[in-house]
Amino acid sequence: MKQPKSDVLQGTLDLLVLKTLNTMGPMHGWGIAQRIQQVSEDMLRLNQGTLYPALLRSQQRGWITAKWGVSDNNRKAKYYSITKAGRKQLEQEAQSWERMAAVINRVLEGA
Amino acid sequence: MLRPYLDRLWSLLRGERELDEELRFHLDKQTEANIAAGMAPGEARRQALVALGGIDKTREEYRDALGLRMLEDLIRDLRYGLRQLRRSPGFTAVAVTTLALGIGANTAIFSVINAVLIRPLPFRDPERLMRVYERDKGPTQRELQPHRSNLISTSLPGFLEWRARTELFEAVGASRFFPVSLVLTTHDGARELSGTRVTANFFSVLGVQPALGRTFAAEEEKPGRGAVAILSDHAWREHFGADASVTGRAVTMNGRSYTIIGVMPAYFHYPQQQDVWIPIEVNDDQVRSFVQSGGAGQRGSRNLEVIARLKTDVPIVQVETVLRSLAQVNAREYPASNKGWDVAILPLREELVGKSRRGLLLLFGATAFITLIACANVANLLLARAATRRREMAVRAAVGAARTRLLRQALAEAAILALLAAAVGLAAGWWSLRSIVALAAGNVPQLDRPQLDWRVLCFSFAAAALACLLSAAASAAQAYRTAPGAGLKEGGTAAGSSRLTASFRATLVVVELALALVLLAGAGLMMNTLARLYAVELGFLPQRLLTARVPLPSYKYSASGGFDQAHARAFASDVVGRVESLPGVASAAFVYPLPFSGEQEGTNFEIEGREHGLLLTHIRVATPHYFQTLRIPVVRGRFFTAADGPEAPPVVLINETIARRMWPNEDPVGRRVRVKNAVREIVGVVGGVRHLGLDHEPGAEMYLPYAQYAVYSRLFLAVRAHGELPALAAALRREVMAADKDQPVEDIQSMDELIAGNAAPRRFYAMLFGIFAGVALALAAAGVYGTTSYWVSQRTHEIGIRVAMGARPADIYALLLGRQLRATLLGAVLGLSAAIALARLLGSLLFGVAPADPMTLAVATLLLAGVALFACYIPARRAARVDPVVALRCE
Repeated sequence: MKQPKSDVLQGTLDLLVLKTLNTMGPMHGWGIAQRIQQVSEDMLRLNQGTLYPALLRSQQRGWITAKWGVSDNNRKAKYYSITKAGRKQLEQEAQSWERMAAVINRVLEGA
Repeated sequence: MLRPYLDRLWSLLRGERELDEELRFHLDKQTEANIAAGMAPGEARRQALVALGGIDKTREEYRDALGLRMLEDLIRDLRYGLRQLRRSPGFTAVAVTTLALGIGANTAIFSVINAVLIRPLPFRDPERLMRVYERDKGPTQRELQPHRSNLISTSLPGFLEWRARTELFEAVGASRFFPVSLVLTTHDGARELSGTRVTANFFSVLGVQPALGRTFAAEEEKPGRGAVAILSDHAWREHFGADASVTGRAVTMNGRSYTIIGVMPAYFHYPQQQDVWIPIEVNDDQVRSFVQSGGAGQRGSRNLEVIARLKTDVPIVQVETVLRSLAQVNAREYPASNKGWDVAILPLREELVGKSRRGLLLLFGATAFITLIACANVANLLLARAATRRREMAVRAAVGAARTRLLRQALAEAAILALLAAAVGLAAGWWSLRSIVALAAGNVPQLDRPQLDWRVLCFSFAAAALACLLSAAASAAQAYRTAPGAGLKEGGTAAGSSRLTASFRATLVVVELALALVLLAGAGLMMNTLARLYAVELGFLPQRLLTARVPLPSYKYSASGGFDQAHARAFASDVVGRVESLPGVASAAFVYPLPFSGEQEGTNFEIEGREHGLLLTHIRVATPHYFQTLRIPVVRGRFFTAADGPEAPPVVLINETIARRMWPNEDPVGRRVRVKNAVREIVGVVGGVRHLGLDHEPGAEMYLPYAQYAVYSRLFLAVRAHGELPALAAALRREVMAADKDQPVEDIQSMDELIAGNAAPRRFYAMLFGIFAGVALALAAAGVYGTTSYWVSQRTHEIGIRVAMGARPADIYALLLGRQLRATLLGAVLGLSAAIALARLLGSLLFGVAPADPMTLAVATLLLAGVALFACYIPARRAARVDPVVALRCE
């Protein structure tokens, strides 16, 4: 299977998606992209297109579910929501990031 | 929990269309946002596209994530599984064959049992059909006819009384117990058809429709209106050439004209294997006399077999209660005929299949054993194989393979195995079914429509698949549970086997051996039985003896006093004369009844000048050459001669059994006995004959010359030939017809065929048990071979050490064979106890052999041990040849 561009980047994206959905509730793909851009203050400039395969993969892993609905201007859109497994994954990832950050901090300070 | 899988499935189906819709929405939204931020529409659109990035790339990634992943994984697992199986072809072949046998044999037997025991009878609402009997609680009948159960037919008054109970029964019909001999005369000879007299509503009570024409109408029961007949499918094909225009045709039977009004379907042959059904004559006089006499009628004349259809919602208990109290009333009012008589009700199904139930359940037990052995074998193989690959699994786990991945692969392999086995098993099952049906032909009712039962096939397959999958899962789970490092360490494969699985596998082998022994014992007992059956002293010589049934049609032999004995005598001697003058015939005679014909006649007799109780004997009539035709020896005195005619003094022959019992120290010749209404002189003592069957010792037998007692019309012709029999058959028929062209000659068979027919049921079971035992033995041997091989391959290192330390090949053999011997002994002990306990179930199938016959059990055990040790010998040879240098180096 072809490896995605960067495992780290992909993992981060998944994390951001989960966080967004956890905070904001069900959203469609464009909404998620906007939110990530807002929050990261445009620092993470990614091809918005890569979001969609990532959303599919998260779906396959059981972290989010999708449902077709109607958007605010009456157009059909696919809405994603986080699942319990997704919340757990979010928690774990967040914790592991924090740990890594703490370790790196210590290394930087200590050296 | 299920959502992600459903989502995935859904996405797979919807495909890329969803992505396109989402992208379109995204673009629109981004364009709007751009316009809102001040861009021109065209520019807004372009910027939106740029922001989205390469759409093709997106699509590609999406496709990757979507379709390929699931399908690709599945295909990869399956291919991996296939490759693994191909790499060890021996294992695969053994596993598949083993399972296929378990699935195939199981299904075939289930299908048989289903067809016979479980599948509903082809009648309308068969569960409401009951047989109603009168039951004799007294001892009278049993002496003379020990093989008749005490459930007896009822009389006409009895039938009418039951029929009147409309609150219990929707309808009540009856058939006459004794079949009617109908001689069909056509232009090219006469044929005897067996007929059953039935009430007009007989077929509608059962709920069967004719295949052609119609069934009886109510008024055809009245005297004079009953000249109609319904054919069985068999008779229609054999005697009327399956002609569809047969309905409405007039035929001559017993000298009367009958109109054929219908033909029954092929599957219907109730109550006996009759060719024709004709209406019972219930004339109004009989009914009137029944009513007038207040219900007396001819109650002692019991010849109606009653079948009744219960009203819905009437519980059987209620019916029993009502009929029993009726019987008690009758016992009081008509003590002469009804004292000591009761009523019994049985479902029709019981009557039809009761006899074969025991045998079939035995077979089912045997096949269940086979399936167990097969599953045990395969589980063993899978577990052993998984243990060999622990190293590989451990490595993969250490490198990060997901636990589910390993499990999935193990399951995929097991699934392929199960599917292969199912395919082979289906073929094997179908073939087995056809063989069983061919073997059973006619012995077992309802086996004419065999079908492989799909439910059972699925069940067997599921059971086998479950065995596979569980074993695979267990081994995969275990492989993963080991600490990652342990499997990788030195000697990981050797020491890695957990003690639990090892002892489980050893137990499996012991159980297999035990089961195989039980089946071997069963087969041995049956074969022993057959051997003893065929070795019995028949009392006559069956070789080159041709027999035929020559039923004298009653309508031709009626005289003023009843049966025209003079005509019968003349006919008999005419035919004997003609047949004996044929080339190739040594002698011929008429007799009734013939040994192994299934018919018997009994009577009581008195010895002149003695006080004694009731004496019963079998009785036969025969023409003078009978004894030399059958080669029955005379022990004292003489045979009949032509001089023993109707005007001569009445004579009788007795057999050795009577002579020994009644005249132990004297010569019975010259004594007189009273039998069949005349005092007769004993002129000779002849040898006893096994008449009813190979397993029935000769009882008391008496013979009367046909010339002096020609009352029987159901004659058998016996012909001793010099040479081959088949050529004689046609000549025989010709001679009989020359004597009387309207005389049917039926069932021309050799005596050997009659005897074989008598032994046929036991032969059937012996063959099946033999096959089962063979299969079980092969499976057990495969199991032993497999586990020993595995054991050797695990301990190559250790064996190398032993050899390097000075062990000789003999020691290695001793090690392995000793191990196997212990397992075999354990299995044998288990198996013997089970065999002794279960052999009793064979019951009356056995002859001359005790269920716990030590010889049979010993031979079976030795055979099992021999096969087990041999199966172990081959891997042992491999072990003994281990080159210590190579062994020590590996690992």
